[in-house]
Amino acid sequence: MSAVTFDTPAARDSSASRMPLSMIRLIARARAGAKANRLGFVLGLAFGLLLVLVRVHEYETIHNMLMLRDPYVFLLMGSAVATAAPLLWLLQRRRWHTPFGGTLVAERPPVERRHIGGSIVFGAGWAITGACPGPALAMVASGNILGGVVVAGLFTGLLLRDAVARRQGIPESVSC
Amino acid sequence: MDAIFAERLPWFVGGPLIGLVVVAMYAIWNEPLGVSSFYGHVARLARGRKDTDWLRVWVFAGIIAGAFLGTLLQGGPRVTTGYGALGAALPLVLLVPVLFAGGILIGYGVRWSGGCTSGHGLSGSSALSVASFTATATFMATAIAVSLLLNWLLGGVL
Repeated sequence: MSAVTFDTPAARDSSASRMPLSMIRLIARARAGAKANRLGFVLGLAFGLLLVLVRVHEYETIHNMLMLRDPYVFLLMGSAVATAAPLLWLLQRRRWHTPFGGTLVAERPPVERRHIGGSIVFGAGWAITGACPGPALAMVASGNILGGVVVAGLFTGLLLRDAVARRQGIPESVSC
Repeated sequence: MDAIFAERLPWFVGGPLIGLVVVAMYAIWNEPLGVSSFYGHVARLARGRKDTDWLRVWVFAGIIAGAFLGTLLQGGPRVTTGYGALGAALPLVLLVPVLFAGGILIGYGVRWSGGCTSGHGLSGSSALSVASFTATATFMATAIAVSLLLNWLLGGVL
């Protein structure tokens, strides 16, 4: 792996045929040093702050969306995507060179059955708890002890899925 | 501390700001902002695995810290076992296993589909990934149907 360089598009393409893109990025980041990873804390900080300020970590916020009583979260997600999509499109068109992960390529995997099967299971859990992975963490941070129960269940479900995937001989995903 | 942000941000402020965080994750690290993958790598770290992606662990930690900061700005934290209408409908001895089971469904589902509300709903959709559109439409439709069903089963208290 030490022979692979990530600075030129040619090197990237030749290595991409042998390694999943996510693995290439992982190695690229390892080379950029621990600083590149630690900077992620700042991004998480911004995201966590916003999750609380829009109150998606409260059961009622999600529940009222899912009961079709309040369009707030639909508008929130819609305007987030409407903001990010054109910017991402432009960055990729301009072949934006990311500081810690090579040329920007937002992955677009083909549709598979797992996208539907997994999302049905997740959707059921989301409806019951009113929490999804990010807001569940925010729930705990805001002092809701029951958020910890959801997070504990989440880790359990995740490891359960890994065990099932191992049994079926499906390679564990490097990133989601 | 006085609550500076007592009211939730208007959607047209909060939504675009969240969108910019998604763009930043791609523009700086070339990675989707998918919180379920952060859980995955925290689980790896806990098992002492060498292939842990530290970026994802750091973002995970940052989310908790940021959420705590936001809570301070809202005049908190307040330690509670309240859980909205669901908490009012179920006694605590029932609520805890129900939330744990719900958590298992979330963890199992997002690991299987490779993303959640952030990974598919925000990041993948912003990247115009058809797989993410499919996943988002599926979990949205399922969650709406299950919510309405639960409310009906509990006699309309939710």
